Amino acid sequence: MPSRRAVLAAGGLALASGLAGCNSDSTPPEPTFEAPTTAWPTAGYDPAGTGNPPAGPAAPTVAWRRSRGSLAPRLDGALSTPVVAKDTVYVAGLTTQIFDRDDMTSVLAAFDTATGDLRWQQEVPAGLTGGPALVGDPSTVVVGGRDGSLHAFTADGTEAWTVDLRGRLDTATAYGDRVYVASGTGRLYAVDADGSRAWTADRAGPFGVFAGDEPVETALPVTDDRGVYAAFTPFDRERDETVLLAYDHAGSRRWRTTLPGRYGRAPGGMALTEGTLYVTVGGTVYAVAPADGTQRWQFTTGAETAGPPTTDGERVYVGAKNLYALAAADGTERWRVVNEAHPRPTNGTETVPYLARPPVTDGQVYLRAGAVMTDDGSRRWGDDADAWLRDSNYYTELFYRRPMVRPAVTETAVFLTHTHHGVVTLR
Amino acid sequence: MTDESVSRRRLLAALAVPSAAGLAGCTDLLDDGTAATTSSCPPYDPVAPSTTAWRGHLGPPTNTGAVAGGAVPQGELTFDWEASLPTHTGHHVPVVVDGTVYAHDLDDDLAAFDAATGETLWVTDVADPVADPAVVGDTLVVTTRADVRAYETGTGDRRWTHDGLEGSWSDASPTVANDTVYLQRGIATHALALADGSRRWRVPTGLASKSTPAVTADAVYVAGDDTYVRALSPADGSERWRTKTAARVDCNLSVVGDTLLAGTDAGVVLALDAATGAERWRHELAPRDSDDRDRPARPETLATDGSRVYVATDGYLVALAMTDGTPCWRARSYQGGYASGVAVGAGHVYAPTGQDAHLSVFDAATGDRVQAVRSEQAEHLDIGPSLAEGGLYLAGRDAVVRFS
Repeated sequence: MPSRRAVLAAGGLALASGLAGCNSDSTPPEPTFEAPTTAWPTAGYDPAGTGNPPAGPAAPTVAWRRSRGSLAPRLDGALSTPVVAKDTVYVAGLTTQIFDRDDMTSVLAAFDTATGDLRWQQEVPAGLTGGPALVGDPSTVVVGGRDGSLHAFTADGTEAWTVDLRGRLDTATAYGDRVYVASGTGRLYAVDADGSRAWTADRAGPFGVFAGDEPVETALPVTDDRGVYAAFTPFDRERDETVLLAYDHAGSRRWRTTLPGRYGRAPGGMALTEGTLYVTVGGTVYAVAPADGTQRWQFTTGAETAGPPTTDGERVYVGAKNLYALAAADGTERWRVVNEAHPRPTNGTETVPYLARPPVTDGQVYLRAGAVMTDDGSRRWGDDADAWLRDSNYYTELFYRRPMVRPAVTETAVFLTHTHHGVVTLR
Repeated sequence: MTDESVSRRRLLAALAVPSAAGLAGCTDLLDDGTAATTSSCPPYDPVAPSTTAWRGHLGPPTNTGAVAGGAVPQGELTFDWEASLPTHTGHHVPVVVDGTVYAHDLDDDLAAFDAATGETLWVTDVADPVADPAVVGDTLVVTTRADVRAYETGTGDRRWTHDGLEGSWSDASPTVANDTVYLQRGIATHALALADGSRRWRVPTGLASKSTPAVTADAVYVAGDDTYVRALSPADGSERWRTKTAARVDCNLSVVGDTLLAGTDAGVVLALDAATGAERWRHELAPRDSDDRDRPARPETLATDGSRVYVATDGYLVALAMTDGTPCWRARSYQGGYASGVAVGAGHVYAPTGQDAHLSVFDAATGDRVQAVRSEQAEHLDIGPSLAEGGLYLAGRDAVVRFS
């Protein structure tokens, strides 16, 4: 294995398509995550997707902004959750076809965290459907392609490798020297940091393995030393439920369960602790046992969409229409931040649902361009960063199932991707 | 409406179904009329309400749909009159107070009719009214797509308008009590002063509601997409208690004595302690069809006479024991329209039925159908009924109709 990895790494752009369909006997990765205070390396912060770094700033103010149009080509599309390492923040513009039906090109951009200066940008003509994830040391930034290509770039923007997987790739999760990424074909891929494919888990629907490549909805996998968890929802109007799967790091399935989506059906995301796996399906939050998938509790928000949960161990935080804090132990609602948006998308709506993964640290939950207190949901600082929306006549339906703002937090800064403002840093 | 149309839509009130319609596949639960009741069902022992008017969506602000025995027509129902209310949009349940019937056409007219004769007392223009109006004293509250407004009942003159509470066709109806208008609009429950329409309070959940609030002197009970049932202080909206359910609540809430009734979209009827929100019992509604087990019936209207809870669903009407939720009888002939309800009084249950009659009268104790009302035409008079001051009221295409 080491020699093959070395060869592939040396080759720069290496196509690993020859490995398709076989699960190699690769060694399970070693966990290397050490809870950095200066980085937010993957969309969920840590491999478990808790969104819970050790520290975050109180009452920061805007340090810099980079608009979509300040890049050439523009940073169009749905802006990914920013990821941060050392002095660089990475953002991808995920393909939406809203801006130009004929142009799928996505941009991956790297900015200086201190100044906002553009370090580099890369174009992916086939488009991106998965935002950036940082893996390995020195780290490479991995993004998921709409055409099934997983792309890796070095810190200076050089293409490191591309591996051809299948389907529309979601955002990857890093675990040690490996990334896990879910595909719109319903498969979960394990790819090592050098671009070699470790294993592929075949799609598994409610009634076993589906035929064909019927597209499914995906979520960011979460992982810990027990293995990796993935959630898929088949695009099938008759079954509003998500398939939740657990694998060990060698690719053997540990268990599978299904979770009905009461209102909505898409898997919103997951957060994992030692004792509990939190999952959102449509507008409902579930707590299940990581050992066997047994359901512990559920909380129906009543909305049709909820974003990925985060947790500080005591509570689970979920952005749906409103932001909710639920008791981790039993799912009881502790508090909510009411979102004044119209319940259903209509033209002329002045506000939109929250939805984004809410980082939590230091007694604060970060929401849009601000934070509320973890104990009672009261406003700590900042605001919803939606003045532009309330002062305009934007047609908001496009935003209704995607967060308007996605934050990432380090000890001294909050990094936002903002639908209107582009990339914003508060420090 | 012309005389021609009256004759075209001649209405008949007829005795129907003299004998049992059969047991329809149920071993214990009885469908559409037999003399016996389910063995485990407690005796029928209704609480007689004192109200004789039909003030809003489901009669009193408690939304029981129940009126005093003296307000119920005696003997066989006979057709009294038909009042023209032409519309291209639809109707709501007629509201009846102090000898006057109030109705709008969900389009552009609001009218008052003499309950005795059907004669039009006044008509006024109103743009896009929605939901059922509500009356207290000499004030008629109407919600529209743009606002909430109050009219003088005697003249149809407008008293006040509260702008900014936009409504839609499918919205919950306002409930008026405690000199206050309570209503669900947007993402919040609103309380407006009945005297001048000024805002008393607003309690947002962040989600919409189609559930008409039930109100007593002590509490405003609300529910909606939020999936909670809540008791709010009538004075300031502060929360007294809340109970989580697992699904949205579209159906009206109903309160009788110390019990609050709610029905969720997951097909669950809940009886809660009205003072604390603690669950007393729950009943899971049977699916509409035996071959569709995955989809429970959805509750559309709750009414109660204190002894039974009448649940009108998208598939049938079922009577549950107030004490423990035991199903006592079920009428599969129930067929509601977009604004149908259930009315209860003098031991009878009045509900729209689709199979062979616009409206059927059921014996509240047994579920026997004792009378059916139908017209010669296929056009359904399926909106309503309301029951007040000795009359039974229905609305249908282009008219409000009274029987007694």
